[in-house]
Amino acid sequence: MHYFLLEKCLNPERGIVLTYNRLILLIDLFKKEYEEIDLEDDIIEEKIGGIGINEYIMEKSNRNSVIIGTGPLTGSLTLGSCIGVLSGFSPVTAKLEHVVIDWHFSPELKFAGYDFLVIKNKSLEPVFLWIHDEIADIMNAHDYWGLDARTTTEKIRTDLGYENVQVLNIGIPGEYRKNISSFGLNYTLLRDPYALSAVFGEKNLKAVAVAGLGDLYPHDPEEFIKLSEKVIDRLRNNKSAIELMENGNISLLDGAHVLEGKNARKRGCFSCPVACRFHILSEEICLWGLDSTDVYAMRKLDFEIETILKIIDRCHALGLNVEGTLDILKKYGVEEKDALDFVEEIARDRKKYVSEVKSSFIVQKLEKFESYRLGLLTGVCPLLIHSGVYDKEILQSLIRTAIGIETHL
Amino acid sequence: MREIIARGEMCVGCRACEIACSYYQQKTFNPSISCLIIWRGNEKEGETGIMLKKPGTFVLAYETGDVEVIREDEASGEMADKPILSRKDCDSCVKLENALCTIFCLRNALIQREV
Repeated sequence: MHYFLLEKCLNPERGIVLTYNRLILLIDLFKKEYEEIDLEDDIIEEKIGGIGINEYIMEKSNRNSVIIGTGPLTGSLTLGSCIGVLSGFSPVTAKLEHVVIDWHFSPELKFAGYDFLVIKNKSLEPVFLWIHDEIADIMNAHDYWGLDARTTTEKIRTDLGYENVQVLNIGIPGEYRKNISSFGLNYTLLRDPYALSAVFGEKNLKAVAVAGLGDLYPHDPEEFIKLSEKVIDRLRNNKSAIELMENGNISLLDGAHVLEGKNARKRGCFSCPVACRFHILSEEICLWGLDSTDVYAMRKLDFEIETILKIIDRCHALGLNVEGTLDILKKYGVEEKDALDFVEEIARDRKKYVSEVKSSFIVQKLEKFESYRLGLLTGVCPLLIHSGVYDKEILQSLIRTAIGIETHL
Repeated sequence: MREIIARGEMCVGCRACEIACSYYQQKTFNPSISCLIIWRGNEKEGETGIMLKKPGTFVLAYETGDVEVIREDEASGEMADKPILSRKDCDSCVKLENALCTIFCLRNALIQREV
């Protein structure tokens, strides 16, 4: 495998593979065909990566396409290099919208050999994509259709025989194309306020599973490492980042009380020891990645925290948008004792329960910050940019030493 | 001479150490060539740990704080299938002033000690 990848790195037609593989994978679900397209340097120079290149590709694609993109720093050693972005036209707003993909999925996509996935058209039957080491398989997903998000992850991992495969998936709400659906990612949930997961359902696409053993070579390794160490020094001297590291992102909304008396552990996204999210484990819940949007959503209901955590846990398992679900519970005046059963009903209902939430309050706020877009362009966590650990100058230097291209953020 | 100590109870599972190690090995970013693995086998239950390949042995540092050292020739059953056995031995980044994994692990789940 490594011999093959080394050969690829030295292939004069492809150029040297740096921290961008310079490969776009275009998948046509209707024709069940795929095609590899070179990612040209001049596009990277102008559009940089992530959200910038997703928007560029979308201009040239069908409106029904979904694009998953990474940044030039995604998967590298620099702090918080975990970010990817999924873009598509939202059934909620009818505009091009974006979902941040964090944890370990986006680096894994790069290690599997691709920087961007463009998924176009609709499959005639349920399928999932299995992308591994520059191979893309369109797999039959009849056995997975109708499963909730967490069970889908579990079954795909078992069936593929690989416990660490990263699985981006939809639950039943996504299959029903409901505006209250969200993406599951492994055992947690992505913030999908624009219901792009319903576009997966429309395409009969249950999941995208990725795993890879490939290499990413920084263009100027010594300089890249020096800069990455400088980023660590900046973090050590940054009060907001230290606060984030100690108390997690729920502290941004004064949500630390939620964890009192809980078995909670910090969990980090790829290359991010800041680890701003918590994994809460008890006999009844296994809640991965409680974050500030969840804490904000909790304020919608006057229930015991324990009940709300169980509701959020079920939303994560089922692939349901947390804010929207709590909104529906409030709208229907559901009593605390009936809430968990009601959540199951919301997830399995085809039409009745829809959210009136058009976005997420927190996501809308984040989208207004320049740091948000910078993160989605470069592949570095927007929270670290926002807290001042990164600035434009250091990001540009990192990109230059990573891929050998001068960019202007 | 120094050695790397793995403390599973401090680990948040970010894998910065894997990437740092792969850079030391081959000046590349590729977790699959690192001489340590952040074990995420039972991710659903939130169990993680650190596996570190050392000469003739591998160390399993669990998130409970327990540490197990297994001799390579004693690995059997499920252990024998672990990809850690095919990895290079950790030399504590002998060519560098400090081990790279310890620089990039801000949680001090990997620390270096003079022996």
